[in-house]
Amino acid sequence: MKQVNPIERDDSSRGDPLEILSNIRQAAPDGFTQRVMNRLPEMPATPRAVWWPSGWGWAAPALTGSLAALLLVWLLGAPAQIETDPARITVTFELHAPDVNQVEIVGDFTGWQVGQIVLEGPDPTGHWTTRLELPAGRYEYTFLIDGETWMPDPNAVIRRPDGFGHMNSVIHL
Amino acid sequence: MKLIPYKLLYGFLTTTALGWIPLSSAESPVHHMLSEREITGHDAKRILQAFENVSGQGLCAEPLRERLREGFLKDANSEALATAIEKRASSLLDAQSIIGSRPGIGRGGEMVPGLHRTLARALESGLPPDIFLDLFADPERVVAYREQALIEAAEMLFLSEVDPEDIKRFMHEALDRQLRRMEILRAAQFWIRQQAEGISAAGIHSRLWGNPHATPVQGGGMGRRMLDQQ
Repeated sequence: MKQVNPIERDDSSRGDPLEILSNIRQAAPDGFTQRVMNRLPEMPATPRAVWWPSGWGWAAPALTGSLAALLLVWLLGAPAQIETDPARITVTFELHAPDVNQVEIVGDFTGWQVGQIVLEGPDPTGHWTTRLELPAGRYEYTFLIDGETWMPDPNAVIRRPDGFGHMNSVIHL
Repeated sequence: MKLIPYKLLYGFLTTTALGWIPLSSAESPVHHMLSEREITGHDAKRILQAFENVSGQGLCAEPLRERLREGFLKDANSEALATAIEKRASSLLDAQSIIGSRPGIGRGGEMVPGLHRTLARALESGLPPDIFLDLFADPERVVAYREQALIEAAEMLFLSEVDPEDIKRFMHEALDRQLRRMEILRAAQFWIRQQAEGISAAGIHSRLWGNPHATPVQGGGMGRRMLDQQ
């Protein structure tokens, strides 16, 4: 039995299919479209999507987001600040001066101003000491004994004429 | 023709304003400091001129103010004070000139405040500028963080009366071996101690860096071991 493919079916005897279809097509009754539309339930209008929210409902989430962002920036920034902070080195300055009333240290780290770093002492062996934490670098300084006598640090290896008739000590940390 | 008086007036006002700005921003406190100490006349002019020279180049005048305070604190006379301020101003300007002219120093020639100040101090101590000009000529060899330690070490050695040629060799060796800051300073201290014991520069060089004909890497190892033994 011969299988007939519907597409390949020979309809030539019945005429052009498009023409046949256009002949059997009936026009819709008058007012059909309007009646259909009238029966459809009324839908609420969809608002246009906008990038900025209306009203004040957005304020709380936005503020929360801002605070979260600030917290994140602070958390990320804090370690960076620690990393860039120059390492500080502890250094002890000492002077053996059993017969004096006060020993002060003056130099680059005091901006050459008096009254900032007074050494503690004397201890029973006559030593005056102070401990400072300074960033790595080069420092020039001198001791001021009883507010009137300038004296370079006898423990410092490097000394430099100060241009005013005295010697300053130089330390590298 | 009508515009000429306005132009003249404009020029006059501009010049006056520009001339007035440094006096108000930089020198007024200095004027005040000097008048408090009754420093007037020629020495006061020298001091003010030094401040103007430094500020005029866009440099921070704080090192000069520190020097002024040091002089006041030590009751220096006005002549010594003026000389000290002029010397510091000159060293600050020379340091700027060296940093500006060498591509290898600083970060691409930018002014690094700590480096500038350290170099100025070294020059003020009397170190010949050519040591640094030669050393920092090659940008490939220099690492910014190491420069400051090298300058400090050079000044340390110079103040300990080490010959400038030996200082130059020391700096080249330290640079070639890529020593870190503390290693550079410890090497300089080692040199000073050895010199105090009466050992010759050649002997110290040999002890510190090992075989002078070694490659930088081999020599660096020896130098490092020497420093670690201290």
